[in-house]
Amino acid sequence: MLNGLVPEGAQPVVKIVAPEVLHAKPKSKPAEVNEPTFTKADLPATDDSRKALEQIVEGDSQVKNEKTTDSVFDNINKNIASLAEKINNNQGDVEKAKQLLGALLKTRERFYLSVAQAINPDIKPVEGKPNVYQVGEAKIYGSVIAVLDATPTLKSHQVLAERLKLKSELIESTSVMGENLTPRKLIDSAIVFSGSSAQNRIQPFGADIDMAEHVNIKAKTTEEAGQILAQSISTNVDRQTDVADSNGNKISLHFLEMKAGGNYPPDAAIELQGQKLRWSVDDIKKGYIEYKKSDGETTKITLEQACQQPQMLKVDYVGVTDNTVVEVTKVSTVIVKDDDGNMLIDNSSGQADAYQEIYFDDPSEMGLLNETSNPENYLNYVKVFVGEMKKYSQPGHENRLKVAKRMYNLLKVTGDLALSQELSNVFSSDAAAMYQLVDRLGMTESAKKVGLDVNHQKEIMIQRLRDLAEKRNDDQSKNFLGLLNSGPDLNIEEMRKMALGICNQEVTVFMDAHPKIKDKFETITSS
Amino acid sequence: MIEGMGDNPPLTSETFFGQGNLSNVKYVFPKLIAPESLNETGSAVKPDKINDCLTSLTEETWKVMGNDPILKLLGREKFDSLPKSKRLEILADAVSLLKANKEAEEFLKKNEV
Repeated sequence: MLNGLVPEGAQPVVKIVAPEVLHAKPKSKPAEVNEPTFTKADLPATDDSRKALEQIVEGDSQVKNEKTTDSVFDNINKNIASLAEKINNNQGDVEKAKQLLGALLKTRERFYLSVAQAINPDIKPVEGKPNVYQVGEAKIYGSVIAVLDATPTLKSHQVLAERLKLKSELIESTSVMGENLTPRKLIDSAIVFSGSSAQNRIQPFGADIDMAEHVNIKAKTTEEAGQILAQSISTNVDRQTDVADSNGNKISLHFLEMKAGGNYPPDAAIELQGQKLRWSVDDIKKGYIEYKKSDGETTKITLEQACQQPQMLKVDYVGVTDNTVVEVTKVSTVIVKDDDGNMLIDNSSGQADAYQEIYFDDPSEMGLLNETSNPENYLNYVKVFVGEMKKYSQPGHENRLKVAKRMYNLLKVTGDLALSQELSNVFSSDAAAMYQLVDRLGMTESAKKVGLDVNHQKEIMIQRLRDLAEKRNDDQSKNFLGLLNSGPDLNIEEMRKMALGICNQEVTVFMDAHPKIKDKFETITSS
Repeated sequence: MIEGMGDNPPLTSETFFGQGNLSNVKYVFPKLIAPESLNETGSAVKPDKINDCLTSLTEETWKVMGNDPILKLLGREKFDSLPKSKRLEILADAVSLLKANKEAEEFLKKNEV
């Protein structure tokens, strides 16, 4: 079964929800209005012809039945869920079910695209590149699902992305029979914006800047791959990187840490067991981390060794602008193949990213086609997001803003675009802005740890928080304001808890006012 | 998905019922195109019947799909004001989706436990 999506004996999550549009849109006539789309001049004028047409319309019993029971929209979603259930339960002809699910997702996506382009002509297919779309004239790309939420302004971050991209100075020089072949790059990489960073149309208060990097390496052995990757990281990583985007906005990135190589080796001292290897700039530049073994001896693990099994490869920066402090994260997926195409290293998570990633390079050049109509990607994505919605609804992990973000994406891929748009209003609330600011205040602590003076930015953020809390005027916000005004040493952890409480309350109130969203939320999280 | 998207010339009334759309329409709306609207072999819509068929297809599609959230976002009024080629593209894509859905539905019915 599609885990969590279709509970036993219950209706699928994507069950009947009569969608409605709450946004201010030009009033349109109801769908039933019998007005010819093709003008009267196009039609034969005789009454007989008109009658015949009416009879045809009236006579189609299939249509009548569908209108009086479920809409086709509901049927499509139910059928997607039922096919997914059959595939997950390995029930019947799974291959045929996958083929039908793929066709349904593909044709639905094509239908979305043609209608979405009528709504927003900025979304354009890239000529000759199936699955790839761009937003306006900006050279940013993604699947049709992803570009729906991106605006051309994301393009301004390309400078930052380019600067953080892993590159290799190593050029393979090959000579055959004394003739030099064209040198080729050993590392190819593409950086994308991911998560809420890539959804700037609907998420104005994303807490941080998330980037995902896709790295392809060609090497003869795993050891050689480790060398190539380690050298590239060492060359690429700096203590401080100053970047100005294409609009002239400056951001100064300060390296915090890199995770690479998974946990400490099995011979590490007991207190290091299960701990992730965390690399400082100094560790990276010298090429190893020293650690204590369980026998008390000191030994080291080299960056090259770590890069042979990079596992999660993640670099964290604190980014400082004139008026804020933001966390900047880059997670790299590394694929290493030899000349025969054998896989040497693959640290990909298997998670479908194409629904949210926005590329700065044509993804087809990296073999990264956004195959969002692939049944496996779809099933996996839905499963992960249902799981996360449940997780963030549990006591101890409760974060309703995160739930709302996951739900937004889930609604989008299950086809409920109108409901997802309705839900997106919660992301631009004052509570969401407060949550972002508190998160960023937390980043000022990290900035201090690397010796930065960010008092000016902190003052700006505190004033903004004060304004937002005063504007809200509820008890929780008043308490928050009290904490904010309690003195110069802010208890950020306490503020975070309070901001989270305010956000949870905001989302709860929002859902109470939007019963269809609440119903859907309850169906998913109780499945 | 969308292989060849952008490669096909814009649809016109004359070309709409080519490219597999006729068989898709017949499969999805079996009664929509009357036999007398087709040529002798049943492989094409008679030129003087094309607009009738397109009009009824438009109405039928809106009846069936008008509840779809993205079509609701677009709205019938905006749809009617779009260039003809865009309206035809949306109709063709809607019919393809309905076809894929009907095929899925038939499979699921046949394989009901």
